[in-house]
Amino acid sequence: MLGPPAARLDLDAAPPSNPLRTRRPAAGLAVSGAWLPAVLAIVGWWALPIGRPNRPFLTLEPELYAVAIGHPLLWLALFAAVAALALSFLPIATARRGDLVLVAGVVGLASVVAWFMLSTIPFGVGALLVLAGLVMLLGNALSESGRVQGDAFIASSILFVSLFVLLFIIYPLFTVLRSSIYIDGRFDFSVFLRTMRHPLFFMLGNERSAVDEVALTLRWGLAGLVGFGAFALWRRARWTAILTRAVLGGALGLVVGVLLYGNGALPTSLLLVSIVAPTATMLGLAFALLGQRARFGAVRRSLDVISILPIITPPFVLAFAMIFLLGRRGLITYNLLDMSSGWIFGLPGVAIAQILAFTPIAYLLLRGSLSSLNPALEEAAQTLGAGPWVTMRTITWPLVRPGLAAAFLLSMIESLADFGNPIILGGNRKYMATEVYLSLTGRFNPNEAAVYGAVLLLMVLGAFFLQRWWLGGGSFVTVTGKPTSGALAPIPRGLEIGLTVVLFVWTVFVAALYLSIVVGSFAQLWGVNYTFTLKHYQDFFSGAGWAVLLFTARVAAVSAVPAMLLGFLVAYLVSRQRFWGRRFVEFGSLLSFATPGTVMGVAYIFAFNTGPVLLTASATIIVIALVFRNMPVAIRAAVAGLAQIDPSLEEASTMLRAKSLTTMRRVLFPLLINTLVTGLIFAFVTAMTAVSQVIFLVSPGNQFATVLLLGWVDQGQLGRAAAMGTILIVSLLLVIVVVLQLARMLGARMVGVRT
Amino acid sequence: MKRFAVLLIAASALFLGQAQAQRVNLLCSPDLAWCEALGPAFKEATGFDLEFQRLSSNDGLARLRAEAANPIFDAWFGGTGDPHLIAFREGLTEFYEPTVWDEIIQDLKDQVGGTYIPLYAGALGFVVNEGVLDGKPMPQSWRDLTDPMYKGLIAMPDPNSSGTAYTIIATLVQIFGEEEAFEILAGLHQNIAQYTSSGSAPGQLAGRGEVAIAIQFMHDGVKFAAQGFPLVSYAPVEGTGYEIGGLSLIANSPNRDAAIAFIEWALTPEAQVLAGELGDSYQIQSNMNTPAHPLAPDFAAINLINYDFNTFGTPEVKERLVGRWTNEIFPTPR
Amino acid sequence: MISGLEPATVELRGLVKRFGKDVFAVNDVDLHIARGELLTLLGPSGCGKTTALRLIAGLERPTAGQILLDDEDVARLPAYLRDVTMVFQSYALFPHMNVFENVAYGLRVARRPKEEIGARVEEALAMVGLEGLAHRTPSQLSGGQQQRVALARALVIRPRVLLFDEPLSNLDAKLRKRVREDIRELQQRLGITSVYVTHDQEEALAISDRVVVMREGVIEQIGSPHELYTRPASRFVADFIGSANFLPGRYDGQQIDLLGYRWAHEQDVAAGPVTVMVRPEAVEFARDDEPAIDAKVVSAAYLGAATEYLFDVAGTELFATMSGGGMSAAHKGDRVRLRLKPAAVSLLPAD
Repeated sequence: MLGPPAARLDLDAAPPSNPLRTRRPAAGLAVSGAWLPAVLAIVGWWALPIGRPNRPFLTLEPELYAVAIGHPLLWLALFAAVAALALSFLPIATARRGDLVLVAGVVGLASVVAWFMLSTIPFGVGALLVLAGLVMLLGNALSESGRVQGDAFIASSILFVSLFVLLFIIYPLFTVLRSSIYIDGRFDFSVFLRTMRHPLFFMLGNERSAVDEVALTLRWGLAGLVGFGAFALWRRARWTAILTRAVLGGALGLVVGVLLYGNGALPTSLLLVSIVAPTATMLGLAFALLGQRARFGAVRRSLDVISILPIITPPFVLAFAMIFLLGRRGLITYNLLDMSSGWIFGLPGVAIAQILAFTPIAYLLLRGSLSSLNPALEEAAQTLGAGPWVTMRTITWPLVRPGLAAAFLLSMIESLADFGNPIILGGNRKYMATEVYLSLTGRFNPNEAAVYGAVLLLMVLGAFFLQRWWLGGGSFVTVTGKPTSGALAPIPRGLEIGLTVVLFVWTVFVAALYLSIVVGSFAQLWGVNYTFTLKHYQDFFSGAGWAVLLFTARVAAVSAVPAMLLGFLVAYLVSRQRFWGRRFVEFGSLLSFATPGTVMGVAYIFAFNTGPVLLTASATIIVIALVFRNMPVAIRAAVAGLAQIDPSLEEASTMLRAKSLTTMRRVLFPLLINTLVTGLIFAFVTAMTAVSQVIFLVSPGNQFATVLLLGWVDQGQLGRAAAMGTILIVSLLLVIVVVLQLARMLGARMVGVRT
Repeated sequence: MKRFAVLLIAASALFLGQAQAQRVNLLCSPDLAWCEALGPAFKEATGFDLEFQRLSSNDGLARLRAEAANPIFDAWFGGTGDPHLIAFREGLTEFYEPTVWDEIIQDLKDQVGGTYIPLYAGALGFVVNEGVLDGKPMPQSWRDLTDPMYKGLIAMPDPNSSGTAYTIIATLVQIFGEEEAFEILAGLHQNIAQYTSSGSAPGQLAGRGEVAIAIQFMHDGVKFAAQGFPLVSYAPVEGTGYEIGGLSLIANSPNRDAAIAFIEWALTPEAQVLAGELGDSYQIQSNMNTPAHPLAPDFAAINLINYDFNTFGTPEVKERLVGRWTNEIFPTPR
Repeated sequence: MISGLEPATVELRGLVKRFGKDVFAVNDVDLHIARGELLTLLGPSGCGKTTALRLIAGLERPTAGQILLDDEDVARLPAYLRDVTMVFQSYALFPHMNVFENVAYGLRVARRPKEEIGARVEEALAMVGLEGLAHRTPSQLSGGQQQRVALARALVIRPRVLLFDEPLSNLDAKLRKRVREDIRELQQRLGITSVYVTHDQEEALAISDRVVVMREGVIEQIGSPHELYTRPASRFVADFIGSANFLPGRYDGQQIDLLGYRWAHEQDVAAGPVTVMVRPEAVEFARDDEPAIDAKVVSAAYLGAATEYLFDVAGTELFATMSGGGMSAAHKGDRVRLRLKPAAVSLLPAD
């Protein structure tokens, strides 16, 4: 029985008034929640014209003040806010009042936005208050009028997130695309066409070479045509199939020919991608198999370390270490192998460096997709008489294919976007990501930079949509796998031995690279004079290095928190709420994830140097760039975390009259603390080692460690660079290990894992 | 929601508190060490704060252009003269005649006219790591560099990304005439191991033994040698070109007074000696009263050509020459 | 001593919920739920019963229509303003809180004073018989105990309407029966207006004051369990609640004629051809001297307490359950005479 009968129940007593229901008898709210945002907007209005030609968020400027106050649009905004405030207290039905407030909010927001578009005066803190107040007011109104499912917080969040995506992702990229064809106020395709035909971008028929590249390429195309056609013929396909195969083969042959004989950034980057992406993916798969199923624990532990390394390694440093190991006077090539060749400069060096950097990323992704395989499938195959090889070929391989596609795509994007390795090891070849930088800084041509950026952006997006088309739909952020448990089929012994050897060589090489960085930081002159010295560390701490490192850490920390919170919020909205514009928010986060850093950096310069959103030369722009750069990773983590939580927990909280913010704080945060802290740390660490997206955004007093590092490398201050590299690697490693351990303990306590 | 609003107000208050004192925002293009040495000395001399951003002269010009509507820099210190000249012609900088104008070396003033203030001069040359030559003779002239025995042993900057490289092309054109210059460049191309994106990088490659010969400014070679790299720097016999480092006042700068104070100070001998003493920079300084650093290349001993900055500093000429190089030399297979 | 409960009436007017372009989960539903009543929404999966419940809860927003609590339209109000609460199928106990914290959650959200929270949580736990388990975590409780925590957690905030979303489906069959009795007993004791969703017709009949049978987003029939069983409005309802045979017959306003077998029947159905719904337990063997239907035994299965027969009646199958077993057992192939208990027969419009 539930409880002994009525003795405890005192239903006969007159029911006292219910203290919980203070808002009775009228259903709904006596006062609209919009009143507070309205006040915010009104307060902000009095400070609205704050702004200075060269600094946002600052000081009162009398002339501007005069300009602004006189404008009817701003009076309209104030009127709307006051109206909303008055309406908030009007004793009418909540939904009806919501509709009225909504109208006021739309009018207010539209007039403020219109004023800033017209005046192009950079907005300051007052405008920020007005805008935030009006958006929150709209959120309240949307929720109370019942036009958006969810409470005011959800509605406001949807608005804010959409606004952010629009302002900080879509708009900057739009300016890049526009700048490539819209010059000095009119459409002008000359720069676009010139760049497209420029030898630095793409050239196939080189009159100066002894060979005829066009003919060679055509020969490849012909070979592909004939080869594929003949193969199809041999397989006795239907004639339409033979034709399609032959055409496809021909196209493939042409592409191969272009990649092999073409000159310029486009074919080089594509060739690089077609070397790096498959290699990194296959190595990642090999390591993932080892990591999951290796018979020796040591193998798995070494993989744990390897998978963290690329995340904590600052750019340039590894490329440099490679020169010292593999260059003309490299320790391995010269001292060990007695070679003397500069082969490392150019495609081979960049490819090796990228494979080193991206294999662990592919590994992590594939590890996840392997661990979500249901072992029962492999067991079933084995009970049906399949040996390890057959099981692997017929069961494991087809099931990891989506994971492979994802890893392939990611390595592809990373390879295309990579800035640090080509700039150090690039040799005489050109690369898309560095050309964006060099065309802006070396050739002072922003429009050309925009062309490179636009092409690069389209390439990455093309790859993305190709993959989605191939794997078939599905949402970018909501794809997750749940780990399952069970006995996994062991790897075939021969394969395992082979893979272990590969891993061993890999580990030794990587260890040598990292060791050489440490050695370099203590050597008098890296590569020439290996006398022990602390000079570089002294220089580092007494010179600009230490201060910049601290500043970088501060900026990274400041950016990590909003990146994580925003990522969590987006993940929550996208996976738990249905709202108009959801696909848009998803698409935005995909864009900011896929866009190469240099392109985003250029885009920010274009977008935020003039007009209402003036941000250049402030720490704010670096923070914002990093926030939106790292947000997608946080989104993925949070989505995966949310997928493990039964949505009815949140609904239960709602049913107990908690608003969504309370639900997040009291239910989701404690349950996701582990995921969130992990996301925070990774946002911090990736911000610390970011370079391509901030290189255009640094300014006096707002220096970034990685950019300084590039300066030192450029100036030959290799000892100092190595010292900074060592300090960064060691401290970031410490941060990761310590904080993740703390998070694990904290998470265990919060969730109360007591059995 | 309520808390969120309160938080927002608090956060905006934080931004409000961010007032700042008068200071110079310096766009600094020479060696980082030199840039770092400026701040403390300037503060001591004038009391003004100085924040700098190190950007190569090309990057610097790009930044000035990007920020033309809202300049954040006040003065532009150092870096090769061409971008300074372009910036002046585009109205990004303005000419300011310092009180010490009379003390500036006359030849330098003659070359640049009233466009930017000469800050230093540095000559092109060869920076050689003899150990990597494996007994081959050291090249003495521009023509020597085309000798096939140096194949894969030479590095020079990439004209498409480095102003130094353009100075090399312009120098060759001025010594040999355009056609012959491009023949030399074509021969040189066969021997080049790497075109670097930055102007000072070739010397590093040579220092570390990746190549034997670097073509770049000699004072950078001297710097690398001072750091301990086994390098010697010297000028080719046919004569060589040079750069004039510039100093410019940014137009519409936010802190104009401080910027002028900085320019006045930067041209004094006391400030200019910092280059060699603290800044690892061994160019000839523009104030004739500044004592030459013992390591600095001796201009008197170098066969300097009469470099025509007015012709070769224009974007049109530059674009044409670099374009010709990119179309004719760069794609030639090696 | 859950004091201060003020149960409300619930009324749905023209309620519509559309997903996407043309999926109508709830299509124009009108419904009145009396104060203190337990009303069950019953139907197969996908019939819209859960959506209707979530609309009342405020977890979904209606496409059109009104939801009235005590004559106030709350359709556009967010869930947390509705004074409605819900017990979930999965219980949805917060895994990071112990029993006390779970039950106290709603009170803490409402920022009640500490002493009040303590007292009311204790009271609620006592009411569901979970005294002394306040400091266990949900994972340390049995399924039935978790269910009671969920109930206590819902009741402690004194909702005006209590919603149940298939609360028993995670329990095993035996426990299910006991817990449903407990829920009913508690509901009647507190007199709280409740809406209960289930797909289990037995559960619905056992627990409800009234049952709403839903199908494809619309209400098929509303009635007391007895009404639904004895006078189903459609074949769907008859089939969904219990099992039924459907035979073609005629009705002249006073008598039913089924294959020549006639008996008096009073029902508000138009005269003419009709479908006669015959519950399996309505079939009996007839004595030799009374009018009867001739049938052949197709199969017979002895189940102890009852025997299940499948008869062939003039080419139509008739399924029957007869209690008492042995008396006049028939065997496969036997020719038998059958009669029908009039009370377990109802008429439907002819197909």
